[in-house]
Amino acid sequence: MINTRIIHHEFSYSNPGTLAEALELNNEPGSTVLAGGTDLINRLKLETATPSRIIYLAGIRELWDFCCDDGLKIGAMVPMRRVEKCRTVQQRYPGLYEALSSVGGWQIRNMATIAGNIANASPAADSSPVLMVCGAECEISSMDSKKNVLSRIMPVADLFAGPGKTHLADNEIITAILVPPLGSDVGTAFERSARVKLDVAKASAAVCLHREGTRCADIAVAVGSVGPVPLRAGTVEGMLKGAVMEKKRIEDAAEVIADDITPIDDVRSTKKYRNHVMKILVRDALISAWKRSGGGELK
Amino acid sequence: MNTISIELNVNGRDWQLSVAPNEMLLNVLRERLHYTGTKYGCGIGECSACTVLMDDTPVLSCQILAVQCVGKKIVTIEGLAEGQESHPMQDAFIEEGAVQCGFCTPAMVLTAAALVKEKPDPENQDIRDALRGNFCRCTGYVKILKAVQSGARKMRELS
Amino acid sequence: MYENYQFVGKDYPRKEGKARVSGKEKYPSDLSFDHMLYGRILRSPYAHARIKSIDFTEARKMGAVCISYEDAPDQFFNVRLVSIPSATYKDWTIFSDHMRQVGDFYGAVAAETEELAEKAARAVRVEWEVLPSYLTMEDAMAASENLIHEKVYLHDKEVIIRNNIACTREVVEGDIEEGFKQADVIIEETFETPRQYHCQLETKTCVVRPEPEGGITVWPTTQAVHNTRILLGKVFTIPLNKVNVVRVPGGGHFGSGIHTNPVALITTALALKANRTVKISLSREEDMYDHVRYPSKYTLKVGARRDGTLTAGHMKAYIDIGCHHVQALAFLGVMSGFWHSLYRMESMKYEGTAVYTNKVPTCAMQGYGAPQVTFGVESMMDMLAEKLGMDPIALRIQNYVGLGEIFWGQGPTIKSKIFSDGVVELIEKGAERIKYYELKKQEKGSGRYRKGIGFARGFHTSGTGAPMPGEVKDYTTAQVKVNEDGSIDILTALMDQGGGTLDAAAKIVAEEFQVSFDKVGISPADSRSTGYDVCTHATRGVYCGAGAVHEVAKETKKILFDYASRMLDTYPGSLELIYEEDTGETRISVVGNPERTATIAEVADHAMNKDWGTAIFSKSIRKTACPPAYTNYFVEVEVDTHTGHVRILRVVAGSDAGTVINPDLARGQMHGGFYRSAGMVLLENTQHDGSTGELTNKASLLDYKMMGIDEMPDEDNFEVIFASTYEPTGPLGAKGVGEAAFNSAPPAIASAICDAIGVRFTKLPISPEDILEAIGEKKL
Repeated sequence: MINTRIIHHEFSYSNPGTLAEALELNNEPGSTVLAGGTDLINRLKLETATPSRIIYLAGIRELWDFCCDDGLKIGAMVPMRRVEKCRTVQQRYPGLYEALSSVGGWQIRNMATIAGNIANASPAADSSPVLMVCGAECEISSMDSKKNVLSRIMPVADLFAGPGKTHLADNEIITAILVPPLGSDVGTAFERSARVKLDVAKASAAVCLHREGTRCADIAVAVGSVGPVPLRAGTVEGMLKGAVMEKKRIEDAAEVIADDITPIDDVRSTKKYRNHVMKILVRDALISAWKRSGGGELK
Repeated sequence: MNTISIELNVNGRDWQLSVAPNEMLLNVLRERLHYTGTKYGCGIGECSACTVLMDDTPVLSCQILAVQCVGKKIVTIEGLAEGQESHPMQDAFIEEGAVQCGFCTPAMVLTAAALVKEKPDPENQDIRDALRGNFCRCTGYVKILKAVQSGARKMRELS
Repeated sequence: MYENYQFVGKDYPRKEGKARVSGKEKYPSDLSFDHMLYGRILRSPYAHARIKSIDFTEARKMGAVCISYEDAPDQFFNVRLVSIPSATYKDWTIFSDHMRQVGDFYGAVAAETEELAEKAARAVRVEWEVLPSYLTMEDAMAASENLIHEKVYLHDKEVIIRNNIACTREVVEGDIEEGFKQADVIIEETFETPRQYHCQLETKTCVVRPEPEGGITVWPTTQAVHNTRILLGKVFTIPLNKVNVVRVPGGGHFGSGIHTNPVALITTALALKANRTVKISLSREEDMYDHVRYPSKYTLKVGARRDGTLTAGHMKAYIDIGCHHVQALAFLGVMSGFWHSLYRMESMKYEGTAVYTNKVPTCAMQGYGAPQVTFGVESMMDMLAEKLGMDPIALRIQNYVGLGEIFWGQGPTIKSKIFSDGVVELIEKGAERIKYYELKKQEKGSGRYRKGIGFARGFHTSGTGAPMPGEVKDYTTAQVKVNEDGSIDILTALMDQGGGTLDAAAKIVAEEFQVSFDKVGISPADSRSTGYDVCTHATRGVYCGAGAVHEVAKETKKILFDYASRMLDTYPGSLELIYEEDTGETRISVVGNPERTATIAEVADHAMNKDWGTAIFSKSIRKTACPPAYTNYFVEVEVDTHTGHVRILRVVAGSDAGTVINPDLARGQMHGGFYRSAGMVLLENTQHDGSTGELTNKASLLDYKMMGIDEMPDEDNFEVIFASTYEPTGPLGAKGVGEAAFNSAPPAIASAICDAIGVRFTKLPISPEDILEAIGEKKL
């Protein structure tokens, strides 16, 4: 039987001081990186991860950088609470703030990182749908056989391959999350449903809406816990893009969310319930995002 | 598996230890350093009974390897009062009847003390946000909310 | 009333408070001894299997101590010794080759560290024969071979088990057929309550040290110091004066520590084999496979006349007890007792069947049958009131078993009289505080959020005392001693699970001697230095336990007064105790002659120097009644009809605890009881996979959700009203609170939900999924 009192699995441990060192170590098959630890340590205890080497990234100074003056650049070691407490995030990216502040309790958020959250690729991760709708990208680093440090950018939306799987190569690590600046006529929102407040979401919805007058000029809607990966709700978006925003239109759009999702029955909820509550979450997120984009009272 | 020599700073004291990479901070604190105030409740980060302060920030010691803690200032419940007879938050928990079996109490007190340091005059919603991860099976949290308010008042009076 | 008391009714910092807030309190899982070994239990991955062979070769090569059913004592026992032997079924052995649940144990290993023990455990090789498993009561009862238990013992008589039925019980009073004929209205409904997990924060632990002169010292997580000692002595054939079970505060029990945890037996077996101290502390996953609340599924049929009197009742219950019998027979009796004691029925018939399944074994959890029964009975009262066109509160007041009546308490063998009754006072006050009738009349509207107000009442017996000996033992031995400086020591094996039982005992003694609370101490206790105490359960802690301490304290006081009378040249009957608030001293003075006085310290010191002796007394005391600790709850909820979420807005709780010894701790009991009840109603259940028998939540706290700090109201929205009653048979008029705080809450919450959305749920828990299913999904 699983024994969460200890970690049974044995591994080597490295604490490199530079990114290059870390990437070189990570080229070793069976290596894995450690950031906040709140996912990896549990996987070690539950034995769903059995690395031969763990590379702790805390010694790499640039991974702790967090800038918020022109969009957001969040290094891979920046704890979620630091991002959550940032005024700019609260004011300019309220959807991201809502998502982050719903991840576990204080202690978890003092340790967990956003990079780690998305690299873990749970379809229920709270930060994923919000990052997707904001057009966030991840900066990905690796080292080639000639010891060159390689870097590429990938939209967060393209990261997820399946439950617990990303499109990252084995030796690649996310070194930063980049979130583009959003204008004052852009509103973001995040809604979730869970059994209690401290819980993994049974369904979640994130919206990023760009308003022009009374119209929704552009919109992105992403949902979590209702498919193998966080999903973009194309049908919902189609009904709203370019349209004049009215209560009825929002409700009609939210109503068709079932077309975009494939929820299942599991220990947390049922397919039937998720199909239903998703409409509520999408609707509420749309209304909230519209308000935050500067939109007035909806008719 | 090789062991690594590390120095841990716990409750103001430096400890020289030889640990395996897969040893949790929680177990090193309890078994090697005999600071048993930090508890095992679930091992997977769901109950927060293993809360310690790392560089003044509440974190879960069942989710941290001991080797990660080099150069960090760790404070367990035993070190909260910093040589005083007690910390005002500890007094508040006793006075408000927020201690029943007491197993969750060290973690609650540490987290609450950290909250008040960040927010000297917390509202009930702030307390809920901060203590959300802290599980208690006895009290139903009612007295705990009251105790944190009272502890905050005491801490404000002292500063 | 409280003006007559110096200390009772006031709140003081609790005795272990400083130790607990500073992390210095040592719980069993914190204990560590020189050269101690760590144990790891070997567990079955299968729900039902037999072991063909075990190979410890590799584990032994690692230096581990190994033990299994092959070399451990193999006598049958029941882990719970509360019932008398003739009422105790025995189907446990320490280890077995017949695995009856995922997680069942066939052996154990011990090594120098937990990591090494884990390694050794994984090196043990087992040959399995997998058997068909029974994961529903229906499947279990249909089986005639590959039974979960074939032969068990009732006391020392062999009992053959058929169709996996562990035991049955039938209780009849009057003629229900006749009774139903007399009824104008008959309602029948089926109720189901879940397998709630205690989830006490400290996992089950035991440390056992073999002693050089033979025997053992044991530090377990337990509510039952003496029963643990007796069981270990019996199973391992150690004379009881060489078995020392130490009372150690536990990190929560809620009923899971009434029986001696298998960990204690396994640790003892390992310690004796290794001849070294061994410690086993379960992982949370193991703990979740270790114990769970009795679930229930029962039909309840009730007949009533137009005028509201109940003519007949028929309850037929099926209880899925999992793979072992801990106290199922008693449980079935308790169900009948609580049912019979809630409301007067002219006739009744209770039929209970306890069924074995290949699941986690069930044991008592706060309420022990009362929550299960009260949920159905209270729901039924609401349904009856509706059908009869009566006020649901008036219907209850008309029919409840109260002052002056004989009630069954926990079962027909514990009949006693009711001497105090605060039911009507609490209901009237509570209804006024929460504006029950106004809220009930309010239009629910058609908006997204619907508010509802609910009410339910219930009780728990204060212990299991009775005028005659019954199926369960109930007494406490205590010793009270006066020290030479006037401080007082209380010695008893009574356990305090956190609710303040021992604080209450200290306060009662403080009151009896008029000595300040901080001068009364609770001595460390163990089984060698104390007489038998049945354990702290059944809400007996204050009424029976502190009650026993009180009776003994009175005897000690007589001795002290005898010494004082000699010293002051007077008679014991002319002395009085006076507490001086300014000095904190307590004087014994001659009535009418205040100059003839001495402090308690002076008397005790004088008695010592004169070689008269110590004022000390020890006795076993049994209570001959079990007065109902009545409670009720008014609950206001809000249901979100879009998501099905239920929010608890406001609670007004009523507690009839007689004299309330520790008001703040008693309030804490109500808060906690309500919180665990709300969990049972809205969230908590454990289920087993139909093919593997594993817990569907993977035994992980991640998927055992409970009400959190966000879901519980703050104290401004949770009021506790105490009745102004005095229980003449209780210490200074006190009764209990404990389980009463749980029992009446689930139906109150369910009734509030029904008021909000017009749907009555008879199966718990009620999830948002269930609520949306019931009210139909809202079209946006």
